[in-house]
Amino acid sequence: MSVLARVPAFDRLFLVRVLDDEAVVFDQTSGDTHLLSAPAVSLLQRLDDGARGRAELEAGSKLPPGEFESLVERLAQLGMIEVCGS
Amino acid sequence: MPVEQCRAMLVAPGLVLGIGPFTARIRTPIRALAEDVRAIYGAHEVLRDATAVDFDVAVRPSRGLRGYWRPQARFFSDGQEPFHPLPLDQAAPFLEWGLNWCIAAHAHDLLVLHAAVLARGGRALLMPAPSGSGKSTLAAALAHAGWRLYSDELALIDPSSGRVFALDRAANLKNAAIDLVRRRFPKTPLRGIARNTSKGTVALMCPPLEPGAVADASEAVPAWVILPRWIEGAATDLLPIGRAQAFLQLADNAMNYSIHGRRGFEALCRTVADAACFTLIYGDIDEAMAAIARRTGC
Amino acid sequence: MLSEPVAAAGRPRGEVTLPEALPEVLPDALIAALRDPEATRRFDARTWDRTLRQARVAGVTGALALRIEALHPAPALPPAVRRALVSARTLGAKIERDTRCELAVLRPLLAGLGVPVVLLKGAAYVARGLPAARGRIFGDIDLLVPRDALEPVERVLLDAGWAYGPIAAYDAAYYRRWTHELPPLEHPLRGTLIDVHHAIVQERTPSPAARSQMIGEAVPLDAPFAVLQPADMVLHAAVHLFNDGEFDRALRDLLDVDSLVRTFRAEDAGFDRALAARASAMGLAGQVADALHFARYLLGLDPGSDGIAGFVEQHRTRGLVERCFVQGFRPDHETARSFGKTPAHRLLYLRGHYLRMPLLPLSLHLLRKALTGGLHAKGASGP
Repeated sequence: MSVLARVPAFDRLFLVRVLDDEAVVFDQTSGDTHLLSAPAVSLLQRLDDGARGRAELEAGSKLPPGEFESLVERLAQLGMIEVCGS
Repeated sequence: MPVEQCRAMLVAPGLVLGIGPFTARIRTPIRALAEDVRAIYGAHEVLRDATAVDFDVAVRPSRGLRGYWRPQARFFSDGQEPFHPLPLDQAAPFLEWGLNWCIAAHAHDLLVLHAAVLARGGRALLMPAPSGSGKSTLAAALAHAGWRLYSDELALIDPSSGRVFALDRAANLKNAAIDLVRRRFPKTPLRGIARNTSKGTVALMCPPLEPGAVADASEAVPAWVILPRWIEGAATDLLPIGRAQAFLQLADNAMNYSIHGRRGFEALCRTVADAACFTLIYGDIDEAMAAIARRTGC
Repeated sequence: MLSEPVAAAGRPRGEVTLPEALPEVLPDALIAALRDPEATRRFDARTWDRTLRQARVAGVTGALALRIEALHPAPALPPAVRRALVSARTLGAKIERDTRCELAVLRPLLAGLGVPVVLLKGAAYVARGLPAARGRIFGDIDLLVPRDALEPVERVLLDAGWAYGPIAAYDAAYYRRWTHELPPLEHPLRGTLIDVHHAIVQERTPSPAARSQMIGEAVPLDAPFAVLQPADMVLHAAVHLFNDGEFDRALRDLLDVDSLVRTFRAEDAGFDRALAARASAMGLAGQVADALHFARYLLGLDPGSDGIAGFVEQHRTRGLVERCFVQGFRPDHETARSFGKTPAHRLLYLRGHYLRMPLLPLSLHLLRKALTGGLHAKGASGP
């Protein structure tokens, strides 16, 4: 089963400030700043709370099919999460 | 300061002014520009010539043929010439643009944003927006409705506190905005009017301030962020947005956000921390003013 | 008004005796501050004003900040100076961060070629963590590769998205034939500039064997990156300073030499001897001697042991060219300009180009530059 996790040393790599239900994140390596949507913030929070299974996270996200996929892809691209297993 | 004294100082050794947190030495032998400088900076503090200044600028007429045939003005900062010359009748806006350039090029101790800033009772309204979004017109109107105009172009943010510094600069008006200000505020002096510039007709609206007003209350806490957009004929719409969206707009309109790295990120977090954030679409200045008054309670 | 000399500020004082051959004493506020930062405690507002103007024009506000901030106890500074130093330090830190980031991007791209890539100047100082990196304002990353690796490196960078700017064909040909680098490559998204060199100096001075020796003896960092060994790093900075043709940044380059020598002396007691030997072996004794001479005279660099002091006196340039160099180091600002400064710059420009090309193409190139307004367009267009 596919699992998701925050990258190791997440807190050293990224500064996240939650503002209202969205967040701004500062990538300490590249110096880039990104906006995290509310679903992205809640996904990261649930990973923090110990949730791992992709299916469980997708169901909890309440996102339409496909949108969860692109969210995961985008967060992985930014180097914030890792996708393990198949 | 009497006009002759001001003019003499501008020729040599230079007029040293306090402009917000900065000091600038301005030199020019151009008589018409001397009068504009006196009108625009009349409320600003004049400092001793023996001051180590942030910016040392001069506007001089071109020599030779260009002194007579389509005469030109040249802008110097620290004796270097960062821009090509402009027609002599644009000397006043040239000086203002040049000073803005100095701030953007050298003031990396501060976060510098492209935004109009107005303040009232120690609280600041930030309007980050690119040119053409109508922020100067809105700023000029608000400056006549009890707000103090810090600047219609640049917001200076203290990276350690997130607070905004006063600048008390003239508003840069273009084309229709000039007529609007003339019609509504006939007593407000407009200076440095130049036609046929790359931006059409431009004029500088002197900040409507009492002499000496600039000396006090030099900073304010950001309380509102409004992203303005003027659209001809549009109905006025002031909509709350998330602070994260406002943060991104501020960062997008910053001149030196990336230079500050993590510190800039943290500063902007403080800037939006206690701010109410909105987008504003407007086609009518009165409706826009009324909407802002309702939202800000001012 | 601004150009009146400030007596308190300038005259070098006390223990430093200047060699008699020195053409004149420099009264500039900036040089006085760099040479003896303690002296700035006595600067009045006017002198500070001159210092700041000159530092901005010379592009050395960052170096000034480092020297002033090293003072204990911290001096009271005029607000404008305090702000300018903070601003310069902030910008310097940004350039260091960006350089690290860019090197991290380049490393995997170049590692596959199997050739050493020697980092030069600013990028080398950053990668090796040298104090010379701090507060230094530079816009490009300089890479040195063996001559036959030039094309593979160029191809890798072009494939990865770097591109040549809108450079005229004539200038491109000039770069390849007569300078020792490819035309600058620019990354369209990040705006970073990369200069790929195949020689650290022009073709005509050190032998090709000496050049490959420098690459061969470079100190490896994370592969494929390496930096020149300490003496060669100083050699390169000195050569850059005196042979570059563009003398506007001379003071900044001299600050590099000064900082490098200070660092390497602290790391290795035998550094002076190694430097003199290497400079002689590479045929660059004159440039190194001049650099040490001016770093001592203008920036307060310790003259060092008798051996290196003798080397400097034996090899340094004297006469008209020395006078021109002294003028060339003065910031190009009205408060520091003296009669004869501009001709001095012109002469140095010619000298730098003479060292690089035979005479006939030189005059053609200068004529072309005169007609087209130079390789570099004006920094900013009208607002």
